[in-house]
Order: sequence, then structure tokens, then C-alpha cells
Amino acid sequence: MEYINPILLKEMKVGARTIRYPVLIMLYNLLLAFVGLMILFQMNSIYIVSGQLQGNFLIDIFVVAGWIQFLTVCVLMPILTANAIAGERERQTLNMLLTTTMSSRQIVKGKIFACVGVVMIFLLSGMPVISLGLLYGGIRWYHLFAMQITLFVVSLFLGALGILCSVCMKRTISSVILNYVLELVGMAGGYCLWYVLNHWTAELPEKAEKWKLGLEMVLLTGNPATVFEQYMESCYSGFANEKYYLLNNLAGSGQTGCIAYIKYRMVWVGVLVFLILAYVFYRMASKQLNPLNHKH
Amino acid sequence: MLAVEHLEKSFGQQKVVHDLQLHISKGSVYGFIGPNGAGKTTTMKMIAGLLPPDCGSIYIDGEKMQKEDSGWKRKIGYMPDFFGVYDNLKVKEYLEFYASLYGMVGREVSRNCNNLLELVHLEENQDSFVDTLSRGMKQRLCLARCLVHDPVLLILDEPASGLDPRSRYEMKEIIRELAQRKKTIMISSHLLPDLAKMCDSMGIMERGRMVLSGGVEEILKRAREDSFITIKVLERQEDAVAVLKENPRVESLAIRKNQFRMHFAGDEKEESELLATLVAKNIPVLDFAKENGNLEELFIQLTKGQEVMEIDGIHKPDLIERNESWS
Repeated sequence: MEYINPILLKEMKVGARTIRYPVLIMLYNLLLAFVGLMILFQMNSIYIVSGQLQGNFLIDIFVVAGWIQFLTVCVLMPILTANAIAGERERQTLNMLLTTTMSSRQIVKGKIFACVGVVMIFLLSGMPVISLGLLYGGIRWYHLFAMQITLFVVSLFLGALGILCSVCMKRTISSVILNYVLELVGMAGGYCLWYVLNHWTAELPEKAEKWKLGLEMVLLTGNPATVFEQYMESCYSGFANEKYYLLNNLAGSGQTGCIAYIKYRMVWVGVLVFLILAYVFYRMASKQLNPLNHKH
Repeated sequence: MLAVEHLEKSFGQQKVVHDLQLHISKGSVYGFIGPNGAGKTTTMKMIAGLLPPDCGSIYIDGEKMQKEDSGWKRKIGYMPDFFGVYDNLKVKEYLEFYASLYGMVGREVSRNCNNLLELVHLEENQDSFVDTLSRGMKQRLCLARCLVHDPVLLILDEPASGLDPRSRYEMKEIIRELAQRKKTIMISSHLLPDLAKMCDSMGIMERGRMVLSGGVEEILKRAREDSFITIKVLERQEDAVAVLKENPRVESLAIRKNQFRMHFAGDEKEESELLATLVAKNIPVLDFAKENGNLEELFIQLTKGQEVMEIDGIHKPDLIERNESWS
């Protein structure tokens, strides 16, 4: 029988004893509920005026709430992970942890999953609001499932990155700052760059065109913000017409068949890339954490 | 049980441990002494696997410490000089958490933790949160944490540091109990009288080097052989200092206002000649007394006096001059 990582167990136990998480989850759900209510109210207002029920509003709840969930992951992860190792170092509990028979990999794994666990509690608590579209029609269960899987993998990716920052930095605040800078430059910056490239209409020489395509592919698959954006766009453009969406993109609109296929299967390509990157960061953090790997 | 061979460690350009050799036999208590910055904590961290040595080998129970294999970690219980605790974790949960880090689970862990809490006199506090404990209680809990996986070697870095006399006494009693249970213990402390009573052997480290090592009896015998002379004069302190400086048998000199304390390497005849010289120069001597050395004096003599040492709460004189600085 494989036992649960003791560090994960301890972190969940200790975290559950503070008022902080319940309050934050409550505020988060209030925000989601407020967004959901506003959209329903708007839908109702239009129905009263026009007599027509606009189904895309329900998809709006799904998309807006989905983005709130994504941003929650991006904001929460650096704070949770910064405290994981740098916090232990500041509290002077890290040395005692490292003298036990737990390997640095097990310690890092426990910390990552503890942080991901907290974030997943946030995400799952928002399911009732996000599922409104499921209830009234417009989205299907596998869209919800795909989004949650994507967010889980993005959490793993950002969690592993955050733990790596926490291992490398001596102080919690430094780890948080580094993490946010990487997110801003990497994710937000990468997204902006991808947006510009995607909407580039001017003719380019063949070699430059290939470089542009290559960069688009990298940004399309390696940036959580881009992946999530593409997934939400495909949700918004009509789940009922997936085949139409696929055929439309493959047929033209200035996209090559390859990019169109990747966009259609965006979630799963991105998931694979993030899992690989999360593993790489996890291995790097484990190596860095082991004190016997350091030479002064 | 513990063998350290040719251990060296540098931080940047500064070498903090020079060719250290150390042997601790099974079931003995080894006192590790040295002033701040001597390299004791660095050495202990290397043995505990928290710092990689630049060169040298460490053997624990005949097994060489390897980076790849962490089996030796199970044999060591390490108590650092400074440590923190977790918030929102109860005393017993704290011990059970550390037990789980060693792969120990089940009812036996709970029983073991209860026994350890009894040993360290914290059984009544098992449901208290760790961060609400006093300093002394936390130290005892940390000691219990070191024992949770039943290690064969305990490395205790200043376990009684910062404790009041009562807590220090309790800590000493627990360590004595552990020694009776045949645990091999390596303990560092600045409280020399306590160490002398508890330890079977000792090592004095200074500036990264072991300057003296051996059985406690042997070291105490050497300490007693060294004698010190204390002189008190009524006035003309500068003249007295000049006389003492001229005497080649005065090997170290501590000055506090009109009192002088020195290690005197001469025999009784030379002692009487020293007194006669002072009197001949009309220096009014109020007191001239000889005392046998002790462990603290030996320590001060062997180390370079980098700090003023606290002995039983009393600070040693403020200024120490060395003979070599006069030439």
C-alpha cells in the first residue's frame, strides 16, 4: 500500500486549521456568484425586451468564470509556493526536514501537491456557478471536464515553477516577486507576442514567415495563457459546431492545417507540454534542494 | 560509531575546517567544544548531511556517508542550534509527522511518541500547539524529535543554549538518561562544567582545527596541572604590569583594574621570586594566590580568546593579553 506523502498530509492539516482559506474561498465564490448573477440578469433583461432567450449568455458564464479560475490559479500559486521552501528556510525548519530519510524529490513532490491541492479546492468550489451552462444547455460535460483538467495541469506547471523559485531564493518575498515577474514576462508577455503574431497581416519573406510560424507554435503550446485563451475561444465560437469549426480552420482563413489542428486540439497539446515542463521544474527543484549537491 | 577522516570545508576563500579527524566510540558521549566560529556547527552539519565536505570521509557505524544513498540518515538524529516549529500543529502530531518522514506509520508510532513525550516530560502537553510552548519545552521536544526514529547517533548542537538553569538541568538529565541507554551522543556546548560531567571524551576545536582531543579524565588532569596565579595590588598597576611582562614564565595575562591573573609556567621557587620582585620594586601587593587550572582555563589557553566566555553566568575579565603579542 502506498502511503500519502506525509508533507502533503501535514500541509493540508495545518492549512485547514486557519481561517484564511475558508474566508478566501468564500470571497472567491461570492465573486463567481456575482458574475454569474450579473450575466443571468442581463440575459433576463434581454428576454423581457426581445422575448428571445440568448443561449450564448450561458456560455458567457462558463467563459468568464473560467477566466476567473485561471487568474485565480496564476495569482494564488506564487503565494502558496513561495512559502513552501523559502518559508521553511525562514522558519528554520528546513534543515530538520532535510536530515530525515525523505529525499528532496519526495519533499518537493509533497509541497507541489499540497499547493495544487489548495488551488483545486478553490477551483472545485466554483463548479456550481460554472456548471450553470451545463444546467441550461450550451456546454457539455466534457468541456467542463477539459477545462478542469487544463486548470489542474496549469496549476501543476505553475506550482512546480513556484517551488523552483522558492528553492532558489532565500526569502519568501523574493520568491513571490520572481514568480510574478516570470508569469508577467513569460505568460502575459508571451500572450501579447502571440496575439501580435496571430493578427499579423503584412506579407513576410518566406524565411521570416517560417520563423513566425515556429514562434507561434511555441507560444501556442508552451504558454498557459495562450492555451487557455484558445480553448475559451473555441468554446465561445460554438460547441455545437465543432466539426464546422475544424473544417473551417483547416480549409483556410490564413491558417495552415497544422496550426488549425493544434488549435482544435489545443488543450491536449498544451496539457502535454505543461506536464513535461512541470516535471522538468520538479527535477530541477529537487536537485537544487539537496544540500549535498551544493559546493561552496 | 562515528569516524571522521581528513574533513575539510571552505566557504569561498575562507577555510573553516582543516583536516579534521574525529573518532567517537559506540555508546559514548563526546563533548565538542570551541569558541564561536571555530567550525563546530559546520562540522556537525557535515556529519548530519546538511553540508557537503570539500574532502574527507565520514563513516557512521562503519558505513561511509554517500550522497546517493540516504540510509545513513536513519542512523542520525540531529538537533540544530537554532530551529523553528510549525504553527497549528500539536505536540504529538509534530512527533508523528517526523516519524512519518522516516516512513514510520501505524499504532506503534503513537506508542513510541507517547514514550518519548514521557522521556522529555512533555506528556501533559501533547495536545498543546507547538508554537505555544516555552523555549525549554521546545528544546526538549526537538530532542524527542531527534529520537523518534531510534537513531544510533545523536548530534546535539548546543542543546542547552538560551535555557534557564532549571531547563538546563532538565535537559542535562535527559541527555544523561540517553547516555545510560547507550546512545552515542556528540554534543557541543559552551557550558564546560556541564560537559565535563556528562562526557566520556572531548575535543576542543579552534579556527577549524582540533587543538586537543581525548578522554575527559585525561583532559581534566592536564587542566589541573596548569596553575594560575592571581595578584592584587593596591596601586602602581603600570609598574606591576611591566614587571610581569618582563618575566619569561608569565605565559598569559588577564588584567582587570588592579587585579592580574596569569598562567605561570615556573616552579614554586620562581613564583616566590616573582613575588619578591614585585615587593622589591615597592609595589604594594595585597594578594598573591595560586590556583589549580580547570577546564575553562585550559580552553581559554588553547583558544585565541576571540570572545569572552560565560562560565556559570559570570563573565571572564574583559581584556586578555597574550605573551606573543609583547615581543
